Amino acid sequence: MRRPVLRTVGWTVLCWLAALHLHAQRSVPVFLEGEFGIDRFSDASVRSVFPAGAAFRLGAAFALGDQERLRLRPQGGVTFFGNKIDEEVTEQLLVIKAGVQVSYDAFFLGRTTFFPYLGVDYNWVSNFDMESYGEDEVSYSKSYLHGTGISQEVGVRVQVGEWYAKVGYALFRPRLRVRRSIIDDDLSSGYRTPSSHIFPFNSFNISVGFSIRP
Amino acid sequence: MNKVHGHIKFALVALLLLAGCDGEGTLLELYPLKPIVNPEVRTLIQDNRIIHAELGARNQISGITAMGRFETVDRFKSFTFEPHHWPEEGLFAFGVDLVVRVVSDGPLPSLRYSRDNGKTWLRYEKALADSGDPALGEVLPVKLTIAAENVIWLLCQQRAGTESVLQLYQVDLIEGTHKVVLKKRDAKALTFAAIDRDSGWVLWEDPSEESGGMHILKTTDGGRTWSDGAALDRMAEPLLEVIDGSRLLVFGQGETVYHSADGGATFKSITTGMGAIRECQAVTADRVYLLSAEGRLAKSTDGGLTWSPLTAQAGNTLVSGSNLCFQHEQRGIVYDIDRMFITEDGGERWDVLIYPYDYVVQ
Repeated sequence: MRRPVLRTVGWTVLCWLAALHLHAQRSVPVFLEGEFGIDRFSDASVRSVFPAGAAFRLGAAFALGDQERLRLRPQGGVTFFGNKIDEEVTEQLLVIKAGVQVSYDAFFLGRTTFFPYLGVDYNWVSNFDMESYGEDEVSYSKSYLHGTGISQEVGVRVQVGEWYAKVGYALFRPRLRVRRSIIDDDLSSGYRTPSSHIFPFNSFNISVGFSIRP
Repeated sequence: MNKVHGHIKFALVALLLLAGCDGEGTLLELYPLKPIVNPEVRTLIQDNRIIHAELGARNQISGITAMGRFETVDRFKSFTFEPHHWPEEGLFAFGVDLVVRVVSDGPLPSLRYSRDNGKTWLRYEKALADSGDPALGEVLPVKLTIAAENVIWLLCQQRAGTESVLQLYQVDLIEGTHKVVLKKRDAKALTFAAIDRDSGWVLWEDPSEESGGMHILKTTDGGRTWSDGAALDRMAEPLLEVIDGSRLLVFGQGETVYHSADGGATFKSITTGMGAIRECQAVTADRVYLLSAEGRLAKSTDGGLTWSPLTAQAGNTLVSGSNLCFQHEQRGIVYDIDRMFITEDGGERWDVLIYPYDYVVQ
């Protein structure tokens, strides 16, 4: 687990350094990009628990290469899934992401530009309950499942002016660890529970976003 | 441009609506978990109860329940169950491919035996009594024992008026004969233990001695001659365990335990720290296991002189039971009517084989 993390962080830092170096040398254009969208798991069993989640990303895209068609975007973001269990309890799945996305201005039709993209993110995953007993009384449980993992995403972005829509597919199979007390409770009930398990969190995503030059 | 903004707004609203959908179940329900015991073992404990279990070669565990026989060679991942009715009444003893049952269905006890784990029973046809005794009264079985080579010893108490007579029988099923090997007047039979056809010990007390103690008798020639052993303080429902030809243990219902290293001639008081003892098994001359009335386990490695309690946990389940059966020093089971645990390392680690978890007893 440690080696892929180091590799991702290494590549991210390298991209940042390269981008900053280029920016310093040639005054590389930088775009502020943000997007909001929806994630939908491809695995039916996971999707039955969380039909869809809300995703948010923010990053600074450096325009590089020939005619500034290559975009390198260090980015961060969150994806949030909620599942209302009853009137007071909502199960939540929170994924915090940090990584880099590379896109390329492949072609355009009129005012519409098409950017195929590739992204790699390091993810922190936590699954917990939110309990609300009134307007101000909200509490969060300890996480039932938590873990990390690297995701890879491919897709295409269609941009009109400063706005764009994005469709992608993320490969993500994090290994999540279950809370020790759950293992103990299961054992008392006559079940043997492994300490960790790989979840199929591959997902389709659709987003809309903006790309502005500050 | 306004048209683009309109589409984006529409897309955002649609995304928000989709993200607000609720699912079914929880993510934790997708986390794998594996039942520790085969749920099918409910056959053995639901509306049923385990009566006897024993270990055999090649990981075999076989036994008897109130409703039939069972057998497994893979720790109950799979098992066979052959239904038949188990008789409830009487005293039982289990030997190698032999189950013996004695019942008081008249003035004399009658003996029945089974060579197929209780599926079919044969009756020992001869009357178990000394027909020459003119003062024949009610004879009650006290202790039934199967020693080595499936030799049956039956300790009885005969009551004729106010008189109490202790009787000990040795029964040979192959020959179809029995003999009274001990008859002692004014003696109340307490318990008996034997190693084989020749060596046996009887624990008795004199009913006329109000503050009297217990006495021990020993034979090494199949009951032809008996020698007196030491006298011990009176105990309620004593348990006699023979470790080898010279070492004996006598457990009471309290903390008191007696240990003899000379075949019962002398005893010294020891302690196990386990309270009342339900069952004891000498696996070798040195290694002895015991099960307390509370279901706790202890082990001795010096022939029963000193004892150390075993921290018997199988996962989060406390190992407990009313019976134990060790095949050798390392491998043994502890069981009760609705549970069974196994160890393969002399009681250090235990696994659950049968337990009334919720998913087992529905």
